[in-house]
Amino acid sequence: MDELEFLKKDWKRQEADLPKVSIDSLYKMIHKRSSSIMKWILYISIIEFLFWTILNAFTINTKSLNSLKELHLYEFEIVATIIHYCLLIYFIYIFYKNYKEVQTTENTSILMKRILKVRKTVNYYVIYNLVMAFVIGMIVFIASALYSPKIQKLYIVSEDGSTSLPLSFIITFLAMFLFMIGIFWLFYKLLYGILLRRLQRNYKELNKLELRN
Amino acid sequence: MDPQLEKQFVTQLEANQNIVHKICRLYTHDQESHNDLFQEITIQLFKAYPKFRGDSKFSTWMYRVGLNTSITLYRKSKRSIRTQDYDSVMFKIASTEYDNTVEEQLKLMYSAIRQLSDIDKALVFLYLEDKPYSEISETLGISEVNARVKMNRVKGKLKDLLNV
Repeated sequence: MDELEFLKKDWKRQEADLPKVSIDSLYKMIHKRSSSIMKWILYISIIEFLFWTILNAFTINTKSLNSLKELHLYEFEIVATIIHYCLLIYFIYIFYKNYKEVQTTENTSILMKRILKVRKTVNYYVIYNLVMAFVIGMIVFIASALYSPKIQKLYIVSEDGSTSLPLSFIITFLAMFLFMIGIFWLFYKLLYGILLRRLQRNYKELNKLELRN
Repeated sequence: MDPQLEKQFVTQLEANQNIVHKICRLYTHDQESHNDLFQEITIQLFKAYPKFRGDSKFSTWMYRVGLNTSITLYRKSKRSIRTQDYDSVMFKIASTEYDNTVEEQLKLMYSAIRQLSDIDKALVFLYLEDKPYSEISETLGISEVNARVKMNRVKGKLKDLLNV
């Protein structure tokens, strides 16, 4: 006999044994806070967003603006900030749109696709921030090398009379910089990896057959 | 949500809560996580309720939201690590009319199902609920042919698990 058919009979019988939640408890329950993956993704993106914005706000002050002028980066900074905020607004809009689109009433496959899309947007956002950090860091470094009086002192004069920065200085700076960005990247990978591991596994399993057909 | 709609929702949910409990039984291993998942499904149902138009049955709609929550949204809490012997605690064998061998067999079946993947569990669940393949495929978002193929594989897997 088919095992599942056998089980089906018992499955129906067990209904009498199921727990019963009272109307009162149900009322209380519906107003509790969800702890779904979507909530976590949203929280993390908000924290993420606040982090970069606050970091930005704190690093911009008159002193830093003056030193930017000294480095001939003042105009660059203004243009970069405007572009940055335009992109941020765009990202917020996409986050919100994606979040709204996730409906538990969709079929499982579509729902999983939607959640992974949300995650992808967050991922793009993270990559954007890391690339931005890298590019701006490099520009500031080059500008400092050219114009900053502090760094000028470090220049060494070679035998043919040309000046250059010591290689060890450049390498140390680059290594530390890349290391910092790497740590950020790993942190995000880990965070979302843990959060979405199960979802991704289920998504793969559900779609394995579809792809083969 | 307006109180009238809220009342309507809770009344319907109360009457159909068996569906949610049955889903929780398949997807969790102890009482605490059962309650946890029950609550999460309830919240998701409530959130989705304003969009429920009644073009499908309330219960059909519940299957969908409940399974979606279990498979995609629910974050298994650490508590649900199998600390308890699952067959004895969560699946009380329903009837005392069974003799020992049948009871033993059922226990083995339930514990085999517990070892299946989240997707396979959903298939088994809908199958045990006597849902036609058209509804199974619609709920999971796969074609009917695939639903059948998958179901046959699950049956095979269960056989293997039982014969170990």
